[in-house]
Amino acid sequence: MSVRPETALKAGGQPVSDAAYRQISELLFHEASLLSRHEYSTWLTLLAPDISYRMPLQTFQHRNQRRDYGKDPAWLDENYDSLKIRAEQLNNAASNSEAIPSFMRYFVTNILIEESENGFSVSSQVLLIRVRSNNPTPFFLSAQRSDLWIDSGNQLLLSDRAIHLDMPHIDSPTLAFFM
Amino acid sequence: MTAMERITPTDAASLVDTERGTVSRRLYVDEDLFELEMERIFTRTWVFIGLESEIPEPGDYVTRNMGTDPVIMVRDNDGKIGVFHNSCPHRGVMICQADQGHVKGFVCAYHGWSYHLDGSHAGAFHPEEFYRGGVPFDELGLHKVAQIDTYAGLVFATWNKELGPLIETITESSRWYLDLLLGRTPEGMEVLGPPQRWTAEQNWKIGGINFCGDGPHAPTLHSVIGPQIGESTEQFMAAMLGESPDVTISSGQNMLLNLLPGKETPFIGYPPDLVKLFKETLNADQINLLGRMMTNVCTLFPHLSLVQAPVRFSENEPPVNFLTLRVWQPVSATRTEVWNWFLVEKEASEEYKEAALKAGLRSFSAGGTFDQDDAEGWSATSRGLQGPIGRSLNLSFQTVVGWRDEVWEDFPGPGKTSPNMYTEMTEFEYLTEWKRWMGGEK
Ligand code: FES
Ligand SMILES: [Fe+2]
Repeated sequence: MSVRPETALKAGGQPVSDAAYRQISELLFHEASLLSRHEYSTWLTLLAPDISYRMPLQTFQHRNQRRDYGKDPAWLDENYDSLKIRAEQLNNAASNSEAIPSFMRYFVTNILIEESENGFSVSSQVLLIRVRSNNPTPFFLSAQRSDLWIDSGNQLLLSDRAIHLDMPHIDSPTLAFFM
Repeated sequence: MTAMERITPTDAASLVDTERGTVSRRLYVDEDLFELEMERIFTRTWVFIGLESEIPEPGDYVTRNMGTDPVIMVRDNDGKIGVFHNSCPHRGVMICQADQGHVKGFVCAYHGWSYHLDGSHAGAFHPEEFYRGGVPFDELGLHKVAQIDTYAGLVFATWNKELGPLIETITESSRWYLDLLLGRTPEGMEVLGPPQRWTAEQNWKIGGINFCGDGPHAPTLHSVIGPQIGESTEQFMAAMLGESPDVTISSGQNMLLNLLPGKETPFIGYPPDLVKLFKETLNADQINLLGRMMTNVCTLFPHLSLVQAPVRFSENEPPVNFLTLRVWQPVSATRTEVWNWFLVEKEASEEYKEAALKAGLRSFSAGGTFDQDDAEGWSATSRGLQGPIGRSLNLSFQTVVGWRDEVWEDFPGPGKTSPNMYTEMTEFEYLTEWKRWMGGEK
């Protein structure tokens, strides 16, 4: 909780083949494209049924005074069912938050991949730019994501994602999107 | 001219028309009023600072605000909690710039003056002869608040020497209700971690007013996500349409309750071991009310709100109650920082604590499914009020005119209870309290 991971990857793992690197990179770009277009029902098909999707909460701390308290603090702590409810809410025009859809752009970079037991550990960095109707000044969030994509036989599914934001305090009224 | 000179108490009082149930829209956008609120309200009322359980050990500190003034809340070596202005008595540098931490004492980063955990001056970096006896170090400890008091693990402070003890603000009547949330087991509640902090694009009072009891927005703004409360859409609507008292529990302290229909099994969303503890702790009337309580939202003037509800985000899991404690931290007339904590019974199992935290994160938090809808509504309020015409008009709380004489006579709790959540009575009572503080009555 207290130390931010530099990367999702354990030391000593094997580099993946060029083909695998390309396949997974394109999967992340494809995912980003779905999210920026609010294609949430398709995005849900990329998720494993037992997915854990967390966005831990950081705090500003002095190097010599560090102290953490409480349970692992978070912005989000989701499973498949709760992500599905969120997705449906965001796609429902009767729900106020995204009734006027915001504009979003995801830049995914610094992709590092390692093969793990039944899939791939993938670390990536994301810059999200979001423009909401109620505040046209672009808002951005940056994060390091640590993923586990598992091989379900015919496709890779996201089974674990930790989103380590660079913002201990979020300068926006909502987190009505996925990252 | 200062805001204090530009706006007299009489001017401020005229902005809330208690007869007609109207309020000037300036309350949501006017920077002069905002400046005045920081003085007349936040330097004079009891202000919520944090929770005792956030700083369990001597030397533990968190940084907070009282209005727009930064403060440090710290536990000293005797276990006593202190609240100090977070600015060095020498030249004003912020003493603690982190959100939280642990120290043996405080040392200012600029010229090295240091302070004990009780705020008193500990030393200056340079040898004494350097200061040639001219600096009254005894008087140059960290600037202390005038009073600190606690209720149910919540720490409050005030700069006001004349203000009566906290029990005169959070009265016995208030505690009768607040104990349903905060004091329902022998050991009480504990904090689940540091607060989330995020920006809301609205005046600080808007959220507080909403949490006093904006019943009418629940079935409209939250129509999509609302049914996640309780077992079903039917149960949600039953609670929305059924018994839903608006209670003014003390001056400036207001609550809205949605009660489960009498035929439903009580204590939805609690594990049986906790219900057993509730029954050992609360009296019979409180237990009856708690058992039927579905949602409970509450604001303690000026800027502390609580909300509890049972929610479920999986069809095959039972509902779980979360309890959120929230501060609407003023930044400017149209900007607020929301500080959001989650609490749970100390005695609860680890499993239930985790479930309660997740239930809260998914409902009332920066990423909360309820907050998302509220937040855009509130941002749109600021946009709607930005021009000179907007400022010249009124907000309507006129629903109170038709309800103010209706009282739920045999409601089993103290305070003044209006018969349902559509009365706007509790929201308007908050504004009446604002008028008392801003208009010179308090
Ligand atoms: S400002 Fe703190 S020691 Fe000078
Ligand atoms: Fe709401």
